[in-house]
Amino acid sequence: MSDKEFTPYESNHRLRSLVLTVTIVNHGQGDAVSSLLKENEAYFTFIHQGRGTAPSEFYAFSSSAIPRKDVVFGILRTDKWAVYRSHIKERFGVSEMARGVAFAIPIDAVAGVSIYKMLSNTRTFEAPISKSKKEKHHGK
Amino acid sequence: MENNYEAILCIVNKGYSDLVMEAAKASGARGGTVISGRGTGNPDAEQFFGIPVTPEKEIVLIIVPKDIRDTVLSAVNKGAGMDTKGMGIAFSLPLSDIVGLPVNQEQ
Repeated sequence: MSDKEFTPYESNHRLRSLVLTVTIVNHGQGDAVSSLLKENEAYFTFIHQGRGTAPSEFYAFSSSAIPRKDVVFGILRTDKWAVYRSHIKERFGVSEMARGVAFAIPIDAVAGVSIYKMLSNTRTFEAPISKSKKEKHHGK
Repeated sequence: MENNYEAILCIVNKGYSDLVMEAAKASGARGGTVISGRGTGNPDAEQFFGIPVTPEKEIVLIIVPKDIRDTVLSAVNKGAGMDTKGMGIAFSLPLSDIVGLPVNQEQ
């Protein structure tokens, strides 16, 4: 055991809040959404196959017989969500096929500093905020 | 960021997602997305049968306005809850933001 006093990471570093983003698009569009998430610094994305539950009459009039969906999960910093939001909104408007829904669920806690750094894509070393700067930051 | 929507997730036995959607739509929900999953509980069942039982599940994801969340949750619990064959567990998550809903639904 080290004699050095333990200092919680959040006490002298600026934390950036994270959101779990879920984007539901038509089957085949998942890779494009995944790329968009990665452009916005998502460390990982996860594409899951799903199906829609719209009334069967809707599908009778559309070209697709099976309402297959790609559900894309990713974790973004909140500041990057705003950028991703505008990009994905633009993409949804490109064509009928590209339409979808994206939403963000706030993340309250993560299991450890290394996980936080990974998810928030904090690759570079961040020096702790000095006490004087921290007080200034908090308006003290 | 603040919005008027919440995500309802309901985990049901495979093949019973229709029960969830019927109940949700009757309470004002528009539509949902179903994804497949696998439960990890009940090791006793596996021991009893001597073969690994894969409890296949379906996860139903529904976006609803906050004001009907409780009604939808209650209906889903009644129509596909633990007292039904679906044996569903439903809960809601707050959304910090949402994009892509049809214009008439965003009102």
